[in-house]
Amino acid sequence: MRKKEERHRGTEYSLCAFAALCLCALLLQIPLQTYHYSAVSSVSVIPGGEIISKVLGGVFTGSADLLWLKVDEYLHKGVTEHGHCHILEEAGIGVHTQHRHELQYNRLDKFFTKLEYNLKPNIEGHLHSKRENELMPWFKFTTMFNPHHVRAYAVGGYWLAFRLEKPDEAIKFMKEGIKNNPDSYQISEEIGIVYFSKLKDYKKAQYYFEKALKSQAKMDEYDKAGILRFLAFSHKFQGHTQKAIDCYKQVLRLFPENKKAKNFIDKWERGKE
Amino acid sequence: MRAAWIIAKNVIEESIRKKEIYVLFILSIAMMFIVAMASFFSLTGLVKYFIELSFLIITYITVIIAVVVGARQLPVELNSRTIYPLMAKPLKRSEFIMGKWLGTSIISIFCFLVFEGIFIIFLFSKGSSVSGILIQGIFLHILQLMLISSIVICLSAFMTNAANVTVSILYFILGHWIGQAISDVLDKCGSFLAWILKSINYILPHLDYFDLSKKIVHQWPPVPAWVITTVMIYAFVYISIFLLIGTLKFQRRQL
Repeated sequence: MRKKEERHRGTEYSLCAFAALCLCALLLQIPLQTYHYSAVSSVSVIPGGEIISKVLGGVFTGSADLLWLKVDEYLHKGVTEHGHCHILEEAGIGVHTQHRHELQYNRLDKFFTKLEYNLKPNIEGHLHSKRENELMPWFKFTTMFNPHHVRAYAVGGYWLAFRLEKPDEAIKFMKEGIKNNPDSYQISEEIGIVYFSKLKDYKKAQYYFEKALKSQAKMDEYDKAGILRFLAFSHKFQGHTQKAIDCYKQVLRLFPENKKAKNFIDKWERGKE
Repeated sequence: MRAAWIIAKNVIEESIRKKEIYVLFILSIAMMFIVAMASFFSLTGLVKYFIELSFLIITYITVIIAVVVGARQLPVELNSRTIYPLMAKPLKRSEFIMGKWLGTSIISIFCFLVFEGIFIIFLFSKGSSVSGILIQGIFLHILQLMLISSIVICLSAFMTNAANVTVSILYFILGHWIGQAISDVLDKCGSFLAWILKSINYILPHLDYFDLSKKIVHQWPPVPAWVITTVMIYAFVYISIFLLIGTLKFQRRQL
């Protein structure tokens, strides 16, 4: 009798453990499916040991993705769903669209939908500019969980420098990002922009734009052209007109029809004469 | 009712004697302190992250207290055979279940209110104040603790302590997702599957109805009174159902 009871208890424990594992797996899938700008890359989060990296790395990057979503949630005052909802339209809430659907909702459905609507943040709006500092802890948390989250460093740095007027803190944060992601051109570019636009330190800006261009990471033509434009002006403001012209010539090689690049080259070459 | 109150008092006294509540108490205060003291980019006036994380800590810790205290009530009484002298007294089994639920609810609500008091002190120290939506959120969480206590007491009539703790905590986590998950797939299902999903949606209690944390964090205005009243009725209906199921199961048991 006792043996049977023990076996029964063992089965219960196994089922509970299995359910807990399934839940963990499910929870890890949620952010990965809904996350539009996923930072989950081929980069291993934990150096050494592919299996450990895959298991623990998944936990950390999954958590970092959840924290990254918080930035968006805070920016929209807690509203996480931006699409339209059929039942809300049926209940007379939200904008009605011409979209046809087959499901019919009864009065009870509509009642509970109205209830839910009132219990959750519902009207999309943006965070008041004075409260934008509330976003910053989530950038920090994201990078704490996933130091390879390049986007969190770059966007967080932008927000600190340009929206919260803290360029020094922004540079400190992004330098930490470069330390963790030496190949990232996005962070170097963003630091360069802060030195260029906020601190007017064109020498340092030039250093970071050149560092971004030297990056081994895959970079598309538009990004490269953007960095070259900033580099051109960094040279120009230091009085190195020829170097500035050379940068714009590189832009022209990427985009031969770019009129602005042609105009600047003409203007600066005429200025030299 | 007097008999139920005596049982409830026993649950409270026993919980005070045990050490786990004190451990959870110290743990949560330490976590709240760390969260409150955190500094980000020398920015001042950051309140929202503190409200969010503190509310999360308080919610989980108080639910764990309710589950741990509630889950052991029936199995421990049965294993240690202390239930037999109790049943020999003029005590109805429904009163016994009611008392266990009442005791579990009171102890978890008491812990919750203590945590909330400390949370509000931290909130004042950060230059923020108590809003109407926060008071509504506290009230709804109290209802949630009562509902979870009733679920745990009901399950303790069916399963062992460990299984009950696991199932209850899993349900607490999943209970916040059920409505959203079902509504997400409803449009893509056939009519029969949609009917089944809608039935599940109506049968299982939605714990997300008791969660105002997002509105509290983002400082929304208070929700209308009819919403709070509806959620209150919703909670009491489910509490009654779970206590009734628990009592019926317990009454069938040969003691």
